[in-house]
Amino acid sequence: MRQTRLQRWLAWGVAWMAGACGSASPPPSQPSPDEVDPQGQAAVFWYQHTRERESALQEMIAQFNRENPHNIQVKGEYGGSYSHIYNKMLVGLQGGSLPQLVVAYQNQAQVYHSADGVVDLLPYMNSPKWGLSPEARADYIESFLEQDRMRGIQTAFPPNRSMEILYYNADWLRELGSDHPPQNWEEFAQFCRRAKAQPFSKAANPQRAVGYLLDMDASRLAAMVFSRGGDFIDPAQSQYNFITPEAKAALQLLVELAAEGAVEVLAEPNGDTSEFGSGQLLFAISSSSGLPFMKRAVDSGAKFAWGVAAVPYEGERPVVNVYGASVVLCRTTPEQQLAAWLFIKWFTEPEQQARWVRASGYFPARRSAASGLGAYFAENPNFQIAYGLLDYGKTEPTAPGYETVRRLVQNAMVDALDGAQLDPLLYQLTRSANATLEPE
Amino acid sequence: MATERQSSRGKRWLTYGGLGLCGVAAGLPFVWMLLASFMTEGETLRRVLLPEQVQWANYVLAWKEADFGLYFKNSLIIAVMQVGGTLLFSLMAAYPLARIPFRGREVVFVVILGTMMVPEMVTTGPNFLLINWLNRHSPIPWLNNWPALTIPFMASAFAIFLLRQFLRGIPGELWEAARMDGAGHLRFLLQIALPLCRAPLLTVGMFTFIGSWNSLAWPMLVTNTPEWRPISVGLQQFVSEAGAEVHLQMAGAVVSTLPVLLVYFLIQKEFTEGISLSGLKA
Repeated sequence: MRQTRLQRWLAWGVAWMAGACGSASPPPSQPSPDEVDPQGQAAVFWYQHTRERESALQEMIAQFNRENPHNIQVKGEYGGSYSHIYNKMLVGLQGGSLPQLVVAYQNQAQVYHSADGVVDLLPYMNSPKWGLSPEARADYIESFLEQDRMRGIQTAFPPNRSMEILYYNADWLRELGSDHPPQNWEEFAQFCRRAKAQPFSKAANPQRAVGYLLDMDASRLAAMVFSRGGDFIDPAQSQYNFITPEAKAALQLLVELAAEGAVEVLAEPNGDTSEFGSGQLLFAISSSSGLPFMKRAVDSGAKFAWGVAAVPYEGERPVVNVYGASVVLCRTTPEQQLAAWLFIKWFTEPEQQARWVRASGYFPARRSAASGLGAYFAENPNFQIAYGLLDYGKTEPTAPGYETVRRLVQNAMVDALDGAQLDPLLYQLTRSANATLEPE
Repeated sequence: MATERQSSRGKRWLTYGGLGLCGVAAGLPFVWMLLASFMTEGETLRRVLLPEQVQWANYVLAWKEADFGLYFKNSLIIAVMQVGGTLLFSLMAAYPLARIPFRGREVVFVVILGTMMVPEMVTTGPNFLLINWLNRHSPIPWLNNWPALTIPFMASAFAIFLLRQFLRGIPGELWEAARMDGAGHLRFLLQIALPLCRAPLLTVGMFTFIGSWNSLAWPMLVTNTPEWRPISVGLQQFVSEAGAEVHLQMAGAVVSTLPVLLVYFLIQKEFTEGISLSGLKA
């Protein structure tokens, strides 16, 4: 979700275009989906998946193309990483060449929506003819749908989700005198300190022991702030606020642990997976979509018992940072839009969801998909534990400028660990973040 | 005298020592890439230094899984077209700027140089809009096709600058002699200047080849299907949002680096000469 300078320029171009065209040419009004015939339509779907996930997705697309009664033909195309797809969309919005379906984070979807590049999905969801039945509608995890809804407009639709979870080395914890993962941040800190002093007996390098490797990523800090009961933004998504006890406490703890050497800064991508697998890292906090990678790292590394849990929390119940890209329906023709919607609807049916979960390791967007995942849960108990945390989900801001705010948060984390005073730092961060909410 | 000799020897040791260190620093990533390409996934995750058993299969797997055959062919075609186009158009632009006096010549040159100051990110959007327009209005499709991947890069301000600097250095007497023999500018360029320009042309060609071979962001922007995507896209296949298959990625990286190394070794002498003639430091 990091934004490059290129993306800032392109986003500026899109914002300018939206501003320049906004008053002159409002988007053409859309006919009701009920009046549209999707027969024989084609739809292009840009996604970021590679290898096994891509193969599974392509097989599912082929099945849809074979079996749908409207002879709709979906063509799945690898668009590169999220960042590449965002670039393609930003220039596509200016050039008028858009596919029908695209994966997008919530804040990216807001950018597309502000440039009239995507359509509201609510009319499709509520359509008596093509929409979701009340039972199906109730089956979707509401918080996932809410993530993609802004001011009453459903800018995107969730096909799956992931969350920030705590990976822990159970054997090492046992050596440190505990048979359960840390419940709160104080316990987490204690174990990090003890781990530093008492390396794991099976570690690949017995001299190396770290409690936690901190990735300078806004989602990490968000997870720590959420689990303390805080947030980055107000519920109306109108004001960022980092001058909170939760944000300060989260950073303060990291600064202290880093000063003691119990926490180190992650120096390379996925370095925490390597270190965890080698038995040199007690805790890792990262995406649940990394579960298969973590398993492979441990199996080919120090081979120990490990587990997953909610990140430590301060209240009565956990709060976990749930995130993940959704799909947006680009503004093309009403027929193509409907065809693309019918594919999304099919893809999120329980049977397809269960199949997608097995192939991707993501969480399904519908509760009933779990009934088709019994064998998968049995094979992947850690996935089941993480799945059980979905009810405690909370999401990061969905405001359009959040890509920029993520970069600001990341810079603030670096500054904090470099010794900056936290109060002025968080004050400045709040000011800079709120500047992104001001109209251009 | 002895002290002077000692001091000169000391300087030489210092120079060679420094250069050696730089060489090691520059070479280490390549060595690591090569070693990692022979490891199992577990070995890359455990960050061992040497593979226990050489995994040749990584190369076969990387080649098959990422459709490297197709991407390799695409990259080669794109690079050859870009190099050919850049050499042709840059030479045609550099020659008059160097050797034909006309009003506003310096202004034109400064404007061309000025384009080097504009960051690529600023021009990406407008370039795409232009390509998109051409895609709609020209007889052959530009998007998802070779024109979008090659034509925008066939005029390079840097190449024009480099070649102009060299062409300016060709003695006037040669031009006078050629004129006496009845040669015009085109003949002078083709028969006299061009053979003399071997080193800078190869340098420009090398830079263009490397730029083309390594490009990723632009090809991702103007292609949606694998038909014309370059090898850098193939390397992306081994990276997912949750992690990378480093052993396969490195095997792919070794394969994709080979042509660049091969070209460099073939023209190493001319490349160094071209760089030194232009007054640039590599």
